[in-house]
Amino acid sequence: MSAEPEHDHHHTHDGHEHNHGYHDHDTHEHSHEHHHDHDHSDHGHSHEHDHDEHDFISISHHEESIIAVFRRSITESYSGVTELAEARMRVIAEAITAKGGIIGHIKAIVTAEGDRCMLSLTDAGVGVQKRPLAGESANLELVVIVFCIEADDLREIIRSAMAEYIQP
Amino acid sequence: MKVILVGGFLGSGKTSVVLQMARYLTGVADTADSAAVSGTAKVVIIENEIGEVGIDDRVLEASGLQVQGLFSGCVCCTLSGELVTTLRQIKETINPKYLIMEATGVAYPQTIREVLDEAFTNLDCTICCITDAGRWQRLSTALENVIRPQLSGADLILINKIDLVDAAAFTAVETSIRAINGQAACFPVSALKPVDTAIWDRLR
Repeated sequence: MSAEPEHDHHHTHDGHEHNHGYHDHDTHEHSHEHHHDHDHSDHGHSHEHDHDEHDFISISHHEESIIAVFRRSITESYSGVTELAEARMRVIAEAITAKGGIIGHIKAIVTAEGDRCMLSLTDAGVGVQKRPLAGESANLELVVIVFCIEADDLREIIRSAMAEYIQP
Repeated sequence: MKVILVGGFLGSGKTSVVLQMARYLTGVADTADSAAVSGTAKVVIIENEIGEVGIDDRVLEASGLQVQGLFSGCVCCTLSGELVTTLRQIKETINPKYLIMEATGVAYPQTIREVLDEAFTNLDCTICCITDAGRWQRLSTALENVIRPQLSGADLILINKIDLVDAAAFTAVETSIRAINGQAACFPVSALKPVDTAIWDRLR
C-alpha cells in the first residue's frame, strides 16, 4: 500500500473560511504548521484548530474534548482500506486508553475511488457479462474525539498508527 | 414545524436513533398528514458535528434522508448563530413537518432549546436524549460535568445499548439517570434493533 500526496482541508465556521487545497509534497520541502485560534467569545467557548499539513492530521479543541482528523487518499482497494481502517482504529483506541484518555468516539468513512464495471453483450437473448473493476485507491477520513489526554499525545498516537501513510 | 432535538454523549447511538425516528416520522407524515405537507419534505435533519469532517451526515444521507450539515463547532455555543440561520432558512424554503436536530456529543440540548426559544416565538421543541448503558457508569463519573447537563433538560430519555448490560447494571443506570432527571419519560432501547414506534409517537 502507498499513499497519494493529496491533502484537502475545507471548513467554515462563523463566517471564517479556511481552504487548504492540493498539497504537493514533491515540490514543497519546508515544514509549516497552521494554527487557527478562534475565540467565539460571544458565547465564552473556544474552538481552536491546529493543522500540520505534512502528517495529514488536524487537531481542534472544543471545551474539554480534543478532535483529531486524519484524511488521506491511499493506494489500495476500497476493501483493503476498509480493513486497514478497522485495524488502525483498534490500535488508536488501545493507545488512547493506555494513556489514560477517554474515547468519545472514533469514526471513519472510506470512499472508493475509481470503482467501475465493464459490461459486455454480444447477442440478443443472452445475459450481459459484467466485470467489476476495483479502483486503485480509496479515501480515508478518520475522526477521533477524546478527553483527558494531551493533544500532542493524540497526534503522536495517530501518527504512529498511520506512519506509513504519512511519509511522502 | 415541530423541532426534535436529539442529544447525548459521543457514541451513545444518536445517529442510529435518528435513522429510525426519521424513517418513522417520514412514514407518518406521508400517510396521515400528506395533504398538509404535500409537495414538501416531511422530515429534514440538521446534523451537527464538532469535527471538520462530517461522518454521520453521510450515513443519514445514504438512507435517502434530507440532511443539512453544520460542522467544526457546536450549535449550543460556537455555532449557535449558524443554527438559527439554518433553521430559519429551512423553515422558509422547505417548512418540513418535522425538523430533527442531531446535536454533537458534547452539546447541551437545553442550551440549544434556549437559543431557539430566543430566536423563534412559539417554537414546538422537544428534547430527546440518548445514553449509552454500557459506558454509563464510567462516563458519568469521569465526565459528569458534561453528561449531567446533557440530560437535565430532556423530555424523553432513551437508555440505549441495553443489550450490553445485565438487569442489575441496567437498574443502576436507570436509577442514576433518574437522579439527574426524574421528569423525563425514560425508555430502554437497543437502537440497532427496531425501536417500539410508540416512543416515536410521543414526539409527534
